[in-house]
Amino acid sequence: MRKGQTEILGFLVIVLLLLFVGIFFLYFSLRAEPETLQDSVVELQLNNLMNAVTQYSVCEDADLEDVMVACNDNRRICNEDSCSLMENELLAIFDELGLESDTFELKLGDFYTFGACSGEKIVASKPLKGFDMSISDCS
Amino acid sequence: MRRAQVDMLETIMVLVVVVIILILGIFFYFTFFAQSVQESGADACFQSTDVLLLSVMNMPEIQCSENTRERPCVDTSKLLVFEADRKYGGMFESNCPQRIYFEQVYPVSNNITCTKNTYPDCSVWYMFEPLEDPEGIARLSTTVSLYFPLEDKYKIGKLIVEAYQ
Repeated sequence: MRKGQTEILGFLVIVLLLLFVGIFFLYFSLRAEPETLQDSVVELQLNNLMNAVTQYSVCEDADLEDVMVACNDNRRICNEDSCSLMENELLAIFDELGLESDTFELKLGDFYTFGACSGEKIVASKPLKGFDMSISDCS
Repeated sequence: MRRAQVDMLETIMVLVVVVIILILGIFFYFTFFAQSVQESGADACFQSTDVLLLSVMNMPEIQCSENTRERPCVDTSKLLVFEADRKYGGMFESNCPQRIYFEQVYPVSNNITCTKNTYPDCSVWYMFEPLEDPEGIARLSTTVSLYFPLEDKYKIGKLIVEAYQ
C-alpha cells in the first residue's frame, strides 16, 4: 500500500471514530429525562401542600395559618395552647399524607421545624404574618 | 466438481449467510424499534399525566370562588356535577386513558363515594373514569384544600390522576 493510501485510511478511521462518538452523544442526550416538567410538578405539589395546610379549619373561627401566627405571638387559640395544637395537627396531617422527616422539611420562621432536608432539594415558600413558611422536598 | 461450480456454490453460500445476517438485523431492528415506540408512548402518557395534574387544579369549574375571585382550593359541591362515566369532550383528553378523583385525607373519613345523596358524609369524588378493563402504569397525586360550603370548613385532600394502558 502506498503512503497516500495509508494516510487516507487513517483519516477515514478518525472520521468514523468521531462519527460514532457523535452518534452516542446524540443518543444519550436525546434520551435524557426532561426535568423541567418534573420539577414544576414537584413545585406545584409543594405549593398545593402549603395552601392546603394553611387553609385547614382547625376550629370554628381559625385555620391552621391563624394557629401558626398565634404560636409565633405566644397567644392561645381555639381555647388551647396554640403551639401544641399546631404541632399535633401538623404531625397528624403529615402522617396521613405519608410525608417522612428524612425526605421532607417544614420551617416556620425560627420557631418550628419538622424534618431535615439535605442535598439537592426543591423549595416553596410563602410569607405569613411576621414570619416565612417554607417547605422543602429532597426525595 | 468443476471450478465454475465451486465458485457458484461459494457465491450461493455467501448469499445465504448475507441473507441470514440481513434477516437477523431486520428482526433486531424492529424489536428495538417497537420497544422504543412503546417507551415513547409510556413517556408521553407520564407527561400528559403531569400536565393533567397541573391543569385540573386550575379548572374554574371546580375551583373555589367568592364574588368572582378565585381561591386556591377545590369546592367539593362543584365536584358533584361530574359523572365519572360520562364523556366530557376534550376536557380530559390525553395520550392514554386516565382516572381522575379527589379523596379526603385529613380528618380521616369514611370511604364512601360522593353523590348528591351521600354528600357531605362521604370522602371520594370520582371526576372522570373512562375505563373498562385497565392496566395501571402511573399514579400521580397532589395535596389539595377541599372546601365544604355547607359547613364552611376546609379539609385536606388529594387529587389523584391514574394513567392506564
